[in-house]
Amino acid sequence: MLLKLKSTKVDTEKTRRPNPSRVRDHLANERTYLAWMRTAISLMGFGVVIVRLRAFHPPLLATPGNGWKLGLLFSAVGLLTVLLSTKHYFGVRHDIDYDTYEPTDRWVILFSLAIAILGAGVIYYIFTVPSSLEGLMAPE
Amino acid sequence: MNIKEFDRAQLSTPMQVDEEKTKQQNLSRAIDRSANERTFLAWMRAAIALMGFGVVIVRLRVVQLPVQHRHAIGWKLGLIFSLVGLATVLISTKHYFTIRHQIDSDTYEPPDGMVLFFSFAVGLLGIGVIYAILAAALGSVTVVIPD
Repeated sequence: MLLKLKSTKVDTEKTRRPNPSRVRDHLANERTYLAWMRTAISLMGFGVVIVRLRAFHPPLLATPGNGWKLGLLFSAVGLLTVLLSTKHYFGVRHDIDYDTYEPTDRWVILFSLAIAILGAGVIYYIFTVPSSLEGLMAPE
Repeated sequence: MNIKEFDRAQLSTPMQVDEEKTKQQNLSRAIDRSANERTFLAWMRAAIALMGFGVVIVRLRVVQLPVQHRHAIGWKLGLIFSLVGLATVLISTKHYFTIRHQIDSDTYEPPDGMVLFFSFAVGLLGIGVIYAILAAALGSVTVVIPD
């Protein structure tokens, strides 16, 4: 009798609130998504900034340098991050509801790789800027 | 509450059970509420990032291209960044109070419309940025002739 009562009680508890930390998990998932989005916004913003800085010297150079390509790459990675993080958010949301969440290294490694490539691009860009223009590269 | 705790609770008197239960519920609510607040702050940070970049984009435009290019897409892009940021502030504040209410009444459902909307807005922004960069880069090849 006691056993039966107990099991039904546990069951109702379970259906009402499948996982006591469910709300927290979903909110944490949302924050993770927002952190990814912030990163994407920063990437796109820096893409624009790099191009704008480059555009400072076209009157001196007849052809545009490589700066715009770097800016385009930054923005493209940012856009890709938006898409992937949205997909990831809904995937994790589903996993939290069904208690099947597994942390994935894939995205982190992929993203590190992308940012490392961008960093290499920035370093390359810095060292290939003509020395005569270095004084003009100030942002303002 | 796991099974072991539940067993212990069953053995004690009903009043104690209730007390323990409400205590635990209150604790869980408090944790959920602060998680909600952190989420709200994360939304705010995202909005601030958007508005900040809006300003940076517009400010940099002033220095950049020669005079005939002044009507370039830059200020529009900056304005859109800032507007999306402002909309995010308003929507996420409303969202915060909705979630607070849902936590109190135990009816929490994770958002999807808002997340989709935000992704959509930032994705459009990204497309705009890429378009602007391409337009500026390819446009300056033909238009900007050293004077």
